[in-house]
Amino acid sequence: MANEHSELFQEEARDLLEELETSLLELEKNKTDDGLVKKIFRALHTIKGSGAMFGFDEISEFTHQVENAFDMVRNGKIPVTRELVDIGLSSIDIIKMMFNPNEGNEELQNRKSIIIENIEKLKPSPTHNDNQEKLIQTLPIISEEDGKEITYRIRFKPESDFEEKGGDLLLLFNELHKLGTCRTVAHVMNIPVVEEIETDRCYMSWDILLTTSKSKNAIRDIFIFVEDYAQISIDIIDDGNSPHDEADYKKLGYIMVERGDLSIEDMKDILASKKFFGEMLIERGIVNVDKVESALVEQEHVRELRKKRQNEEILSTLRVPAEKADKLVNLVGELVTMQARLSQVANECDDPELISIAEEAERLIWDLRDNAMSIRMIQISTTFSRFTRLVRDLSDELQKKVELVTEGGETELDKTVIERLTDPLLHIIRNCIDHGIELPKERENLGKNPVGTIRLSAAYSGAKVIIVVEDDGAGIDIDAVKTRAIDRGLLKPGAEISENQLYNILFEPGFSTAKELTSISGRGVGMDIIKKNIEALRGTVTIKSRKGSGTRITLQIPLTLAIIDGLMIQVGKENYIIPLSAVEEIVELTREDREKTHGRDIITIRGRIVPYIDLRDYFLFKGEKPFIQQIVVVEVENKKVGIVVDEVIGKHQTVIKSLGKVYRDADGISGATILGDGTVALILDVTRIALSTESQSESN
Amino acid sequence: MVDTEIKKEGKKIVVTIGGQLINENAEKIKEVLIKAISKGNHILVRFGKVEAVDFSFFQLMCASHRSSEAKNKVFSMDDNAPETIANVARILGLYRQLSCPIAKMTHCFWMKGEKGEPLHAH
Repeated sequence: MANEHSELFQEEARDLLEELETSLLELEKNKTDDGLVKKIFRALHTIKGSGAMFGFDEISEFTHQVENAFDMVRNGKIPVTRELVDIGLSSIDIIKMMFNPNEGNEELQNRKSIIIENIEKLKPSPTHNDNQEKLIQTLPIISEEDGKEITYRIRFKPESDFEEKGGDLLLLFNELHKLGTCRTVAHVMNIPVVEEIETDRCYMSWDILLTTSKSKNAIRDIFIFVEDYAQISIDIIDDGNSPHDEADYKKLGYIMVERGDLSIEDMKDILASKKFFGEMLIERGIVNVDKVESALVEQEHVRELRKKRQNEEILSTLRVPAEKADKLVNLVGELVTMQARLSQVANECDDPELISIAEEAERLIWDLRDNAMSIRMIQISTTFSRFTRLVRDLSDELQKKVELVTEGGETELDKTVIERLTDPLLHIIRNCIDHGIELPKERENLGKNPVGTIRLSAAYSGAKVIIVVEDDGAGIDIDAVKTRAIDRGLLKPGAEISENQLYNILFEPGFSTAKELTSISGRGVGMDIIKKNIEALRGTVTIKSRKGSGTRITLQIPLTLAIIDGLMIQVGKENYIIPLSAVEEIVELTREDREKTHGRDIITIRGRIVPYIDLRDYFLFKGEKPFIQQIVVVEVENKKVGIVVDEVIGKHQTVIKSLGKVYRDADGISGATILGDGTVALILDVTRIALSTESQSESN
Repeated sequence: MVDTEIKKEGKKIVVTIGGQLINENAEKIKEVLIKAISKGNHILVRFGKVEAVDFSFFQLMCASHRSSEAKNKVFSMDDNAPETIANVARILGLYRQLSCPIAKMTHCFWMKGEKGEPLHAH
């Protein structure tokens, strides 16, 4: 159970740290955005609170220090500066390190000390009151009414001649009630017997719990004319920031110790008796019943408040471990396979009732599939936000000025796809900063804005997502690529080569035109990995560049890797699946059509020549080709290519199963699926097959 | 103005109080309550038409309860307190979940308030 809680905390803390990083980077751009300051403060506060709750005391204590820094901002004591943002960002790294306390402990302690020292330096010097005043004037005062509900404990003890001096208790309480939700507890223990009472004296005092969006000052204003003849204290007991899973509130004893109504020793003593705490306190006469009553009301009030807040949050979202969502998708995959079998059996039996049931099951399972898949879809903005930090840090390191502009962050992709997309994008952005964007002076000399821009965008395109990384840097030097390719024997001197083919050389392992290596890039290990990773996602990567103007790298990625719409085709007696998203059209190919082209594997479709590859040849099928075959035209890297098959069976819901290790490198195959009759159909790697037509035409 | 009446109903001494139950009239209310307590062992406070009430009245009620308890007498309040009384009692935080320890003969009359059942301390 403890581990479960600890994992839950880590999971939530990581989400909060990501949110924190995004907010800090935004704050650096919008230094007076009080909403962002509040967001940062709340995230830190939550990490601190839940850290302490789950036993991560070191994290809690450290976060408390960082929280203090942002509290100073909240209260207008210090401004938002780059140094403050640096502190925030470094703290995120340190907190992440703290999750694995055994890793680099010495480094961790050093970094922690530096951060704490830096926070100390931020604290305004008491001698610089003028500056502080100026800061307070220029920064928004956020401690004032900010819409957030805060619960205050007001302890009010009027002097006995309070009313004689002009105080009006009822008026005062009515005013407090107007500020928000009030729970009041009167302390009546000091009231004497009726024979002894002096009727014009006040013997009572009060504890008031007020939940309000108003500030402490607004509450003080109510007491402004009576504060000379009453004891008044106002404390925050719930600041509205309690972690969303913290519906509970302090135990009664702790409330009373905090109020000063009970000593810790007495509390421990009472706890040892194992009776109801309040009951024992009264029984032993340690505190009077009014104080217990008041503490109970406080406990109940804050618990109700937090429970309400927790319910509101629970209703809006439900946190489910990723593996459960994965398991659900796997089960739906099995269901889709089973449904294909059911449909097949129903059609074979030719029983109208069974066919109707199979159709109904098919409809429901498809709906279930879409819903299950949508659970795993997450916005790509989660990945984009990580790059903002990367760009900031790298551009600092390389003394460049770079702005990252992101678009289409709301585009959703399967969780697995997003996870596997991070590394390739990281490599591309590193390259953009290191090789693409010029130094500020250089850019100015070229008449460019000294601040370079990297534009990262995502958009849907059918069943795919197009991700574009574009920079306005130096672009790719085609001549340098050519020279290097010739040097490495990848290109014959004087050979005719298209610009696209040249760019493809950049994806060759170890290829780099960089004159020197940096810690960031230049070893030529990045681009081939990018291509490999993207192809593993059944995606494509293309480059366009103009020297002096910049480079655009486009990734085309399928939305999901779990269940896809496929086109089932047949070659010989074998069934294959072509991802439907790649299919453009299907045309007939007769033996006569073949003969017309004299052995050149091309066909003219609406006046346009399309090369094709016959799967019988590709997979070395024996036997005579049928008289009539079908060409499935697919689009790969903006080129149309035909894949010749014996027969097109039709659309098929394809549950993708990965191939075993032995078949992982099988050419032209990207996976497999199980058909309704239990047989296996291989899923074609359309990109690989289509690109083989290029090498074929080159060798021809 | 305050209207008061003391009468005997069986074994009970019934005090009916109405009018302005405020500080200015507190001395008079005090006298009536002391008198009622001296007349019998079971005192019941009923309300007439209550026009206004303030903290002083609630203090007097608690004080009378304490006197009665000290003399082993029962001091109780009519369950059907007028809305004026209930409303001010709510605002001033008189309603409670734990009875005061002085109450031995009868429970604290403010326990029948807003929340009803007493809470258990944890």
